[in-house]
Amino acid sequence: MKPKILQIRKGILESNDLAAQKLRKDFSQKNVLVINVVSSPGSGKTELLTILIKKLIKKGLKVCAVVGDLATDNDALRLKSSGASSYQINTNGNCHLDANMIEKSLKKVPWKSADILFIENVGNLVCPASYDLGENMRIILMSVTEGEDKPLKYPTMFNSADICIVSKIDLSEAVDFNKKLAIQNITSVNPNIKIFESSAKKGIGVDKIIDYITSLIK
Amino acid sequence: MHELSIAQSILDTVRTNLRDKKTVIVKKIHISLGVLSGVEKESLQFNFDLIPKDKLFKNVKLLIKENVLEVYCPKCKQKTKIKNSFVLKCAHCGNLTSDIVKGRELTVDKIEI
Repeated sequence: MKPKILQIRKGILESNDLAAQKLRKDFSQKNVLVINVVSSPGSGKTELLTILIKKLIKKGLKVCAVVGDLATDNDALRLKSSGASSYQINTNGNCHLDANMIEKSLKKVPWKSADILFIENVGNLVCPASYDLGENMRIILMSVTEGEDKPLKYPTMFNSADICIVSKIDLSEAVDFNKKLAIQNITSVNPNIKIFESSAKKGIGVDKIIDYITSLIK
Repeated sequence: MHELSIAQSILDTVRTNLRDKKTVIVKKIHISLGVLSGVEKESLQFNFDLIPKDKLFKNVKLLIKENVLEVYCPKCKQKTKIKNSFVLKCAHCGNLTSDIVKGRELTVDKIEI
């Protein structure tokens, strides 16, 4: 029997994309700025978010955070110390967050009355790139200790981000970090990306990021 | 790493879009995979063969068409196919461009039953 061919033409991640679209609509209705933060493990997502959130709250803004982790709730506890309502999404070994996990986690934080919702993704430079979480903005962190060629090794992730924060900038000298080369690599895989630099520990560059984020709040 | 979830999503996508789930058996699934989709071809093929399948997908084969990266340059209005790198540079004028025409796709194109 001759095989019958059926045209499907559907996105493989369609169910995630539809869930993300619904989230994006809900977020925009409540006027919440949603920021998805991605990086490799240990780039300093939690450290930077803790200081950013503290400063944003000081400015009178309401901030919520949900954070994905494979096993522990350490990060949520650290974020809580900054004053934000936070919730830990335990992915039980899963390497990324998806839109359904976000939808469920939203029951645990008062996001509807917030100005900003941070989503701290699982530390991983591969898988989270493919999953839309309904965010308005994706920030990728790249620490100086990781090497200048990270964007060339993980182009999909760098290409999917709107903002790149070069973190741990205070360690540049110790690791012989070539900033010019790093920026060249970042823009070669994403010419439109906006680049910041920071050191959460030393408080360098944090205010510039705060100014940028607050400029986006309506 | 997430190729296992992607493999499962492929089966789910076909199942959702198939009207007659009772009498047919899906023999082949054709998908398109852009090099910038974040999914690795070999790993996906391996994981796809590994996952348990019910009667609908008994002995199903996954055929993957890999799409290279293609960008459009707004400056000189030409397209460039980018091979062996992910540097989004126009081959005609050297301008960097973020206008990606091809390379991000992750779609089920057709099936054979």
